[in-house]
Amino acid sequence: MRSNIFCKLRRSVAALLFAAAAGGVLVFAGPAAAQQSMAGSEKIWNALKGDVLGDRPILLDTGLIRIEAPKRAQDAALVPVDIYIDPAKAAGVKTVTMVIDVNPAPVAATFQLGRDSGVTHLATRVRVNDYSWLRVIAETDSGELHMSQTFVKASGGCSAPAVKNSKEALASMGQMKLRQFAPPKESMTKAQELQLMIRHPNNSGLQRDPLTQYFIPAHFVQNLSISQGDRLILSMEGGISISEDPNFRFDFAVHGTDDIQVEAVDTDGKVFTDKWPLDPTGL
Amino acid sequence: MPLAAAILAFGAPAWAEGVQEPADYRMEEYKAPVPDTLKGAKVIGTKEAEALWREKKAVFFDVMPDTPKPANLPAGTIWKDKVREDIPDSIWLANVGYGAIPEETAQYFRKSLEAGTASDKSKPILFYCMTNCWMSWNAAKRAVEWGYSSVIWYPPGADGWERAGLPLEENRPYSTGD
Repeated sequence: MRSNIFCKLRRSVAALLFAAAAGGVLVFAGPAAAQQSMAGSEKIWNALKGDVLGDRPILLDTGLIRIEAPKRAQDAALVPVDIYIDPAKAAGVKTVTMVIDVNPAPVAATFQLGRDSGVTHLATRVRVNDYSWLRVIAETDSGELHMSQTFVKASGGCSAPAVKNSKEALASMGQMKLRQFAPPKESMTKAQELQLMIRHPNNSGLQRDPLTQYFIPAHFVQNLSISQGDRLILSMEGGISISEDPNFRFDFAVHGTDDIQVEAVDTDGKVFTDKWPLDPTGL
Repeated sequence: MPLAAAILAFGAPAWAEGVQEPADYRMEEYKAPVPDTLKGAKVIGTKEAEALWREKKAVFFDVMPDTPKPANLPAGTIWKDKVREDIPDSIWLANVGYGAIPEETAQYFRKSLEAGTASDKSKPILFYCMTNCWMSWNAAKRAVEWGYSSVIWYPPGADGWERAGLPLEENRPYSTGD
């Protein structure tokens, strides 16, 4: 089997090289040709942004917020995204909206940041259906919208089958794990990092059951809130684009010694809660 | 014509050569190089497809998949149906080209074929989706198995058609009225 694949690979490489030699140029007319282009994604966004943000000016690349994602995703159902907020301006940021233009439900998540939460970095993983701009838009207390965008080459993420089988996923659904990390040594702030992992299939509604061939109903974490005591750190309104077993890593400013508390509500109305004592050493 | 230019013009990737026609339906990885043949069907390129289309000598079926909006999304979810542009006057039958299809989808496919051909199984019917897409191969194979005697497969699909400078038109999934 393996040697067969290599054999095929060699053959196609040879064919390509031959084509290049014969034509003088190497042109790919392969699968990439039919993917969504930057301009196509932009066109979708232009038709969409009014629904998401209303008719307000959007400031691009001001440095207040920044998004990072791989240019080409290895797994379209698990695309890592990092959002950075300028620490000097983080206190004035009210919400962060993440949009994936080409996903059928393009608003991936809206995060609300708690007052003085000190969140300047948030990482999670998303499904990407086709080549698309990934965007984050920060709304400030004064109502300004600041956007950062990055183009990701990935496809099929929304309908990709779950990694775990459904029985396994349901048995562990709602279980949470929290990891705490001490602030980096060079950091001057008291920010600490948390990583929250929630077991949940987070079915997008676009995945097909491999046995019955029917679409599996959407079933995902719709609302999530993470607080220290009764101070909100961040909350999320999530959609179909957050990957299976939602995972969030973020920094925050510690206030006192209260526990870290998490509540998650899914689209079936199931409520999952957990809490952990603050570990100031991060160990 | 240099070979690379020839490859570009016909929209067939260099690595497509040597893909063997499988005995059964393609069950996964539908976006991949396709074979040159389909047993029981005629395989054509853009020139022939254009002639059939201009002379209205075949019924064109687009089988590009589509994902219906899940029933239970939270209120207020912004949902955008995929805009499909395909060969004008095509009947778009979404999701009939998977390797295995549920009974409802099979019924929908049968009914749509009957409607499109006025129940004449000898009427030429053409299947396509996009370049390097097995869905149209599967759908055409299914039609052959159901006894249609003049099945045509057009592998370049809507994007191959467009690359040849031919028009596309926005379409919606066909409804049998059920």
